[in-house]
Amino acid sequence: MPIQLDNSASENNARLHRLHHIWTPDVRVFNYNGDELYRWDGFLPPAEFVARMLCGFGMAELRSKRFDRAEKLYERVLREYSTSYAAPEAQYYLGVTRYRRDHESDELPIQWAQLRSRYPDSEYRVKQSFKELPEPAK
Amino acid sequence: MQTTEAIAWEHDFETGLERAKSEHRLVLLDIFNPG
Repeated sequence: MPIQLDNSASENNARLHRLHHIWTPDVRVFNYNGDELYRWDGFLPPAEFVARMLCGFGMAELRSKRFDRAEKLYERVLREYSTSYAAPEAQYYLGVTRYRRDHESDELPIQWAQLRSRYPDSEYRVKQSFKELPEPAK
Repeated sequence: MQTTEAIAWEHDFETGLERAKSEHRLVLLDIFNPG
């Protein structure tokens, strides 16, 4: 369900204050109960926007524990927008999604190894870097 | 041929949320400045 709010329209002031709005474009994903599940600020060109939006819906589905839906969204980012800025996030959370669906799965280390290989300079590589630390001496 | 479907934006937050609830859909909110 797409909703647009004009931040120059006075009738939106109270809503925007409650949303702590500060900059445009301000894009968010909510569930239908009004819980905010993802957000970003600032312009993105069309392909980057779509990739970021798919990641946003992926996170909304993941936080709602609809793992199969989240998986499809993250897979689509990696298939269709593999060079986008959002792609490392999709790779990271694809592993998280599959792990949260099945804790016996090897998909977390598999996807994070892919992340290290494909997106070595990304912030999401840093977020999994504790996995790169040497095992403590026993 | 792939076609592009125009998006019908809702401009009232509460109305959009009610529609999302009735259709069991997520909400994408775009706050913009027309200037």
